[in-house]
Amino acid sequence: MMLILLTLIFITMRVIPGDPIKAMYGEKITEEFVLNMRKQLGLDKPMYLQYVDFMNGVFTGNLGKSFWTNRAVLEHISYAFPVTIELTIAGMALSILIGIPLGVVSALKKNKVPDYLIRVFSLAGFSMPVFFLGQILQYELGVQLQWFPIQGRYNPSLTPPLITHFITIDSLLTGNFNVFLDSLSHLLLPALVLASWISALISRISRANMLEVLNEDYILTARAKGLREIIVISKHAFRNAILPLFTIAGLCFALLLGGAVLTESVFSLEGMGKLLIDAVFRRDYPIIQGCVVVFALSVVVITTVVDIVYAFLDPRVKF
Amino acid sequence: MSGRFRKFLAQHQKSTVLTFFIGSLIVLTIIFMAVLAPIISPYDPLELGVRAFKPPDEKNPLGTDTVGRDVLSRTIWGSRASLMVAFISILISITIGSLLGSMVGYVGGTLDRMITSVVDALYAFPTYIFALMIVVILGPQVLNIAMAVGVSFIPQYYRVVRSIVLSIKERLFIESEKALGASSLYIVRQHILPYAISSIIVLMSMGIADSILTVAGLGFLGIGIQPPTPEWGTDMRFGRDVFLIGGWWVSVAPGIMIFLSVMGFNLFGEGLNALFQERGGQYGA
Repeated sequence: MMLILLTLIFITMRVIPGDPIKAMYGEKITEEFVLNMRKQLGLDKPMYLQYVDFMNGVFTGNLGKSFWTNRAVLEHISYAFPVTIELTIAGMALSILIGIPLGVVSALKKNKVPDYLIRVFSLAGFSMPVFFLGQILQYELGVQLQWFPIQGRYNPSLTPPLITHFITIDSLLTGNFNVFLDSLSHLLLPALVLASWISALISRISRANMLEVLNEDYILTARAKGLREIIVISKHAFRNAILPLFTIAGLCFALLLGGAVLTESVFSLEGMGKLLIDAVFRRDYPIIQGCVVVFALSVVVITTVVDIVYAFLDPRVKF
Repeated sequence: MSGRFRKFLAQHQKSTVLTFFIGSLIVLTIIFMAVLAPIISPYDPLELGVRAFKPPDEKNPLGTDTVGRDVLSRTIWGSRASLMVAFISILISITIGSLLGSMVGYVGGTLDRMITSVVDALYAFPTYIFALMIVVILGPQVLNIAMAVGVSFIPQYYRVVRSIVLSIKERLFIESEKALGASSLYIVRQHILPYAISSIIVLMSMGIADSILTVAGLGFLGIGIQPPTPEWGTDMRFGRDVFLIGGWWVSVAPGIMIFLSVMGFNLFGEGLNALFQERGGQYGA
């Protein structure tokens, strides 16, 4: 899958008609400049050699140098990637914490008031553009009520330790709880914005799964045995209803990454999204390509991990 | 109330009917807004007013934006760009996705395995980033954006249509058509696509919602439809700088319109899906 995805990226970025250099610099540039740029990027070589170069670069971690800063693309990514992953994981955690309980309650109260409210909420969450919700929360909770910091990853007066570039992990490793709490408070708002979107999806799916499971014969059996309702729900129904959620974890992750690009832009986080968008405006082709490759790789890694974990959790799945 | 309508109400659940009607209402309103934009908008969306960044008053019910254009007029005109791109992109993804899905699903074998693994890989990749990548390469013209969004949505339709085809291609009536000597193309066109059509319509409605959201997101990042063309996402990008200092009126109207139109198309699709299901038709998304 990784090879297919990388090949697809290569094809999209190199083979489809349209010259990235012309698209990026406009039509007014000289032929000489185009040739020069093509040479610098290795775009003048035959297609199969470009493909070999590209794959070679991906697997040796040599993604080229940024046009803008002349530093290695990988170096830029090593700063930006942790920001995005931190945000994505926090977003995912909140989505699960909000989404699953809502879905379960909604299923248990099917066609009653709580169910309708939750369904309207999840529809609204899914229809709300993250950048709109982000701005509203920033203004209401950040500027008006001053509950949360509105942008960045930490208070500029603090100097966070840098080991892995994951601020939350680094501060814990060095035992610096002030920085840890501060970075969490910075993370909460953007993660909440992302979660409003994904939790809507999760609550819908867990509602549907739960309803399906509640109709199964073994639930009837459990009830007939005289088990208390709470045991039936939590032990018999809940587990079987929630397990299939794992299969959409990969999809959620992809959605979160896409949403993270927008959320980072709203909250001025220096993550992959910011790196990518800045690169687009600075016409920094190697960075754009590097970001897309990293997105692809992380999706592949996550999907694989999810599959493996799922096989452990659900003994019926065999490879 | 006519007899027909009463029968319709009796046949379906209340919540289904409600969902469908609210959805259609929103969708119709937005389409009317787009069509009637020149008549209902008070000003030219490109015209610079007397004062920039003016809070709402009687002359400009929603105020003016940072360069002095009427926000209400821009929001009304903005529906055109969003809807146009959404419709074009959906046409692209539906046509390619469902044709490819039905043909490949019907033929099966190695071709199916090959194309499906490519589509699956693409499906796992964030749609939004894929669309963004294509826009960057092609340049941010309206048609290119529609194409980028359209192409990035193909995997969804491909997967749904293929799974429907797989579920019905072993049925007896297909078998009998084959025995009568019908060609594959004929069977797909005459029997399989009509069977999948209700699912495709439902997906289309939800796809338009997704597409509106994607286009607005691209606009918000500055790589969507380029100014001065009014577009909700792009307008919000310019409202963003003043939002935190209290200039809510520049962003709120386009934001609400994105929200409403996405919700409208989602509700419409969901209502439609429930209607089809209650009539015993095919399952949608």
